[in-house]
Amino acid sequence: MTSADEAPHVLKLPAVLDLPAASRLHEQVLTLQEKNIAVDASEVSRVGAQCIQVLLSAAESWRRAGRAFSVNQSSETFARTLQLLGVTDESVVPMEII
Amino acid sequence: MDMNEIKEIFFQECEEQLAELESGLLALNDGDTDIETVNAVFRAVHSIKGGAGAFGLDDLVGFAHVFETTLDCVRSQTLEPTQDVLKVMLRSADVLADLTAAAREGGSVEAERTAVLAKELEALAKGEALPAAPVAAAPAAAAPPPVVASAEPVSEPTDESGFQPVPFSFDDFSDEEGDVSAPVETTGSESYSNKFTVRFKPRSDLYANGNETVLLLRDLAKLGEMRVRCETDGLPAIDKLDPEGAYLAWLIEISTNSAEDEIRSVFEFAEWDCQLEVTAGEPGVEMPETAAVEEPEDAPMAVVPFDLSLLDDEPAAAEAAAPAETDIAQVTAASGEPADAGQPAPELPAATAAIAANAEKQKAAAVAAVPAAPQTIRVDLDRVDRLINLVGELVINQAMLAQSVVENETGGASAINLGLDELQQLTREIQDSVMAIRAQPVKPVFQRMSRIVREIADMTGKTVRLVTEGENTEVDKTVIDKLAEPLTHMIRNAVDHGLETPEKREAIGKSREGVLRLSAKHRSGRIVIEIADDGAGINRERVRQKAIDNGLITAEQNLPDEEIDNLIFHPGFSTAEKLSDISGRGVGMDVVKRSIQSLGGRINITSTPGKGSIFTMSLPLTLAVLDGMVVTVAGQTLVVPLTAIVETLQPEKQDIHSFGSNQRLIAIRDTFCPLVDVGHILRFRPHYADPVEGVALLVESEGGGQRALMVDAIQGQRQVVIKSLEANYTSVPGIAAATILGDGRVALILDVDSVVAASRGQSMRGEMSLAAAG
Repeated sequence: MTSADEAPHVLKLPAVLDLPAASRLHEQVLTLQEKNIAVDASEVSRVGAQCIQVLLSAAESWRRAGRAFSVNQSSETFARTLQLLGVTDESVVPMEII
Repeated sequence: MDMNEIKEIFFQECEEQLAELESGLLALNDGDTDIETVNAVFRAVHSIKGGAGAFGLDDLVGFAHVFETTLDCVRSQTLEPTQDVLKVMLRSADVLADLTAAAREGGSVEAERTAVLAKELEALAKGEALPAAPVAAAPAAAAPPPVVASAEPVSEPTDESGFQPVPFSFDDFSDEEGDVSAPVETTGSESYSNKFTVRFKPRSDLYANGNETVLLLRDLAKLGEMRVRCETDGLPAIDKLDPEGAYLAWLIEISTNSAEDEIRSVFEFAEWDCQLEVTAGEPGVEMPETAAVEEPEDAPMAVVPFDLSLLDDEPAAAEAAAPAETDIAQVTAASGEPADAGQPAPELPAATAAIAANAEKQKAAAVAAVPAAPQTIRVDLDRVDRLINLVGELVINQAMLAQSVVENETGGASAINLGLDELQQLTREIQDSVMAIRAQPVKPVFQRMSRIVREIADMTGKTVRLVTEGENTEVDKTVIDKLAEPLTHMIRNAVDHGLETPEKREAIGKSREGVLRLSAKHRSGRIVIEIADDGAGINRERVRQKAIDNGLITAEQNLPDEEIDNLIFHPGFSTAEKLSDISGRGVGMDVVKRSIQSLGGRINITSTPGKGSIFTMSLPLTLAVLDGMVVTVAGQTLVVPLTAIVETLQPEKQDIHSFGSNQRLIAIRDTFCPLVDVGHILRFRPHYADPVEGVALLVESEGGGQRALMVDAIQGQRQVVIKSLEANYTSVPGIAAATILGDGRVALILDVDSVVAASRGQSMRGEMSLAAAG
């Protein structure tokens, strides 16, 4: 069992997070269930609501499991889209905007 | 969502509506009295008006409104659709098409013509209206002058589906052309007059159908200032989540100067795939701080490549699109409807129920309005082209594979050979299916021609009836797109030069009305389009004289009728003594011929003095593949289109006859046929080859007559993928295109007609190289 202190696995998001990407992202997240996750969204140039949905669900699930989940790096597009969609979940809203 | 894209969809729909309008009016003109036809005509104009209103195209809205009002009188049977009435309406349909085109491509429409027609339409509506006329006819009298954009709301006749066009200003989009009449404030909440609460819960269908919440909210944000709350209550844990499901809901508070309708129209394309509630006032729950309004425009979200349009009913596209629809259905089914996932926020349970009921109603209304239209999807042509290209590569690849199997000799009926055969069949089927996606009926082009005929008939004072046949004949879209121009020119020509004036016709015992027959049919793998008029026919004496004057032929040359007729296709040839406004626009029949040829087509004319002329165009059904015979000529591999070949034969020495300096004939059964040495005519070799050592391909050229093409040997017969020589290299005389063979080598595809033409004599050879130079 991983504790919240262990070094997180960096989940690098692809540039395009559209509808087809949601399934891939979902699968990828499922394989990381035992790990802490630090999301790198710095390359994201396009993101749709369904990928955000996967991230939100993951963030909540990780919280419940007592593991760390955060977005450490983010592109401006990613941050703005979250803002536009009114997403306020602290685990998904980027810690810093690069 | 990109505004230009929505607008483009609107214009595409306009095209369909205009076609519907015209075919409806023509049907009425031919005596159709079905009320459904009248309704269809009315709906077409009504839809154009509705859409145009949304985009602030005032001229279009104004004219469509008057037109619609008059049509409504016909619908309510207060105005009888007599020939005179329909004449005005057909011309109005033309103006409506012009106004649409002007709105699409910029430019303007003759305001006077529009105004005059609008007056005529108004007069029709008013003049025929009985005192006890139904209310629907009343707006005509009260309507403001149509071409002047009016700020006052005009009363809207509605169609039976209850559809009301929604006025929606997109003026605040910076990338829109046109004046910004009412700039929308985007900052400072004090300046907004309205406040709305929007509850929006997408269903998974919304995403499956190519819509996207991010885009919708972005568009909404452009209407004013908004605060957004994302509701995640229904979101399952990650291991229970369907990544393509839709669990999130949004609560949006927006301060805006727009009306509720305008808020709703943001969701217009998604309304059937979501629950939507728009209410005046604040949401009554705590909202986050102001959301970002600006989104970087340089990183647009997935553009919506297609939308499931219930109105589109082209059967060909429907057939072709069927598999894609199945896919979407599967995706939707697989993702499941998260019916219980998005629990309504506790504070508004009744309202949510209302939304659901409303959504159901909308869905029901939609179904009722469009009863049995087959489902189609709009697909970006580029995507189809890419697919066709890939399939082309697949065909080549398959041929290469087959070849290497042959070379490595796996022996007889091995599993590999069997598999290869199946692969070949499959490839062929895939290719046919892909081609079918691009195939479209020629109907739209033919319909456009009826307008051309009307216009020229008006200008020349001739009475012309256009009869069309086989308008459902299908052909590749590229061919269709390029067909309109030469066809237009030929139609103009036929009416202007071919048909006589009514007086003259009467004097020679013909009916006053000239008949122009436009027909399309499939013939041996090609589409044949004929334009036949019952006019005077070609004046061969004048054509001949002109050709002599222009130095195209010598006075001594005695040409058969067929060749005289074909002289009109010669560059620079024009018999019109004075260039008329109509057909003499500096474009000769040679240009028509050239554009047909560039499509891999042929054109031919037959004319009977006093009875009329028939122009026959024969075009390939597709520009992508070809069944060909692979032959060897002077060490080169060439492909001869199979459609041109009548038979192949092995010449015997006694069948070959020489005459003149270097002409040779071959006796085939009881006729003689000129022998053309392909290797010599293409300058592959300086001398003539011995016919006995080669094979003769008997070909039929479009100009009539047969020729025996001499090649060295036949390699086989196969389907080849056409690669344009013009696009990849440069045009070569006598060569139509190129292809890549199974072994990876490039082979040239023979242009049979130009080779035959070249064999006819010096002048045609000149034309051939001219065509190559151009």
